[in-house]
Amino acid sequence: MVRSTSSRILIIFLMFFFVSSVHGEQASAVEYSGSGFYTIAAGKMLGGTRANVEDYNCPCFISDYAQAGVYDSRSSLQWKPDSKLGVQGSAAYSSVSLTAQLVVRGATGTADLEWLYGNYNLNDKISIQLGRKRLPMFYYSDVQDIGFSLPWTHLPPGLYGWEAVNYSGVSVRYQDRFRDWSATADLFAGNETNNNSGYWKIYNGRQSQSGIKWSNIVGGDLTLSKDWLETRAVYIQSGTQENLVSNGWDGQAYTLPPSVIYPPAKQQIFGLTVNADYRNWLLRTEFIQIDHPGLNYKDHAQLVGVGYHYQKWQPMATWGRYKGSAVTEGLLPGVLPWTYSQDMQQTLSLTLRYDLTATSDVKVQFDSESDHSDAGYTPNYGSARLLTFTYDTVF
Amino acid sequence: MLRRYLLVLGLCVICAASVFAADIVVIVNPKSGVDLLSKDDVIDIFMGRNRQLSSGIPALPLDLPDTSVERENFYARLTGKSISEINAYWARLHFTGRATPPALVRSQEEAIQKVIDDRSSLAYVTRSKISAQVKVVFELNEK
Repeated sequence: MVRSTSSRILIIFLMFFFVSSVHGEQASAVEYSGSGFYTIAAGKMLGGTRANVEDYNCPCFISDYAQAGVYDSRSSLQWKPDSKLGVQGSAAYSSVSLTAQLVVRGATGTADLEWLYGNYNLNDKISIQLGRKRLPMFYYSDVQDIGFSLPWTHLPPGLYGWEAVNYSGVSVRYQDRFRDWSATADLFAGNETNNNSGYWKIYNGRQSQSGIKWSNIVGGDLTLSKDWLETRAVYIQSGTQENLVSNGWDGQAYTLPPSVIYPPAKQQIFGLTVNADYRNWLLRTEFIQIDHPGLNYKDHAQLVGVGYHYQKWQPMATWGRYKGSAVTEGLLPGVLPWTYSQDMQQTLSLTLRYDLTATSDVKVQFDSESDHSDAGYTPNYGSARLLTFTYDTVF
Repeated sequence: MLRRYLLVLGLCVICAASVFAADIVVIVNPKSGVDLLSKDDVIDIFMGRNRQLSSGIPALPLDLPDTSVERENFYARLTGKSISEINAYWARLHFTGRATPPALVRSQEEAIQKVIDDRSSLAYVTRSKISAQVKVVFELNEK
């Protein structure tokens, strides 16, 4: 579904550029550009709760839920969870452009088409985009793969760890100034289907295959910037459905039967960001809450980070927390026994960034995660301490 | 003899200091319809937040190369950020299609020529480089 939608968009735009190119002198007006980025990451578990969780040999640190990027207790340095390479190409003709971005990740070992969208600038303030894009749930969603534009070696997983990160659909962007404030507003709608979710490998086992579907996604965000202050609010709603396709881990082995289709549900996502870059100081704060109307639990997560930029150095301390809590005790209708009231992890991250060149950096980060989930909650990954090094660049 | 060396050395220091402390000005085409820009206006245009001049025509900012001292001084004085921080900021906008970075030119001379040729272009250059064919709309003095 995703690939076919992307393919259709690609074909439409290739036809557009072909038609443009065969019309004589206009062909020279098409401008092509290419760019890219990569992160080489190495990490080592320093300690934590020793246990076998699903088929992971823990202590484990989940650095990227969406791609199942997990550092486990292997003694050697691990390169795969946060390493990635991306290339992006664009073709622009007058007010229309086509952009594609391909990302290869160590966590998945696959090359994925993350972005494929056409853009039409209606005027200087309004643009319309059609295709496959990032779902803008968070402030850093758009650049989650571009390590050079992040202050961390990986995004704080408690906040940024969700099952869907993309969608296929349409969005409209409005950009303007109101008095001293710069404003950018987006409205978007679409769907997301992923037949091999990385997120659910963390909960169903590495070799499991689970599908997710976010239907009728509708949302909007508003970013206001003034001098050193930037604020962002986002709202998204959609239908959700999970589907265990094959190989569920039952605690001992992959024996759960395939095709467990969970009933469809709805969700409402509320997010708020307040960031500041005042003189050499930087402040990052972000909060999100996800309500599930009709179900008996809600999620919320937040982070607060403070850093200081001195010449080429940038130390930063970040606190993050995820909490999934029961609204009412009881039974999730027809699916899971609801035997716990809280799933909660807190992470303290200490990061040091050094700018090597104008387009590259190296970072070292220590993460200490503590698990405060109820005893009845499974899978319980427990606490973890991780040290990571990254080299990030854009080209 | 020593006094002569000290004099030469002193002149060199003054000369070098004047290069690094040189006033940077933002210039536009005289037909742009713009007489003055505020610091916020310049930040918004060069950071991709606004790409329209107050006269209603598109704003097309120009950037000098990463290695240029003028570029480093311009962004440091304008935003307090290093070139690396500015590039990290642009990576976010560029890879997500939110905005296009200022067009790159190779030298101050090329930037000035583009401003002379195009009424939408804006550039930052040292004051000593400009001529009567361009209009200064903003000044960034050494603090």
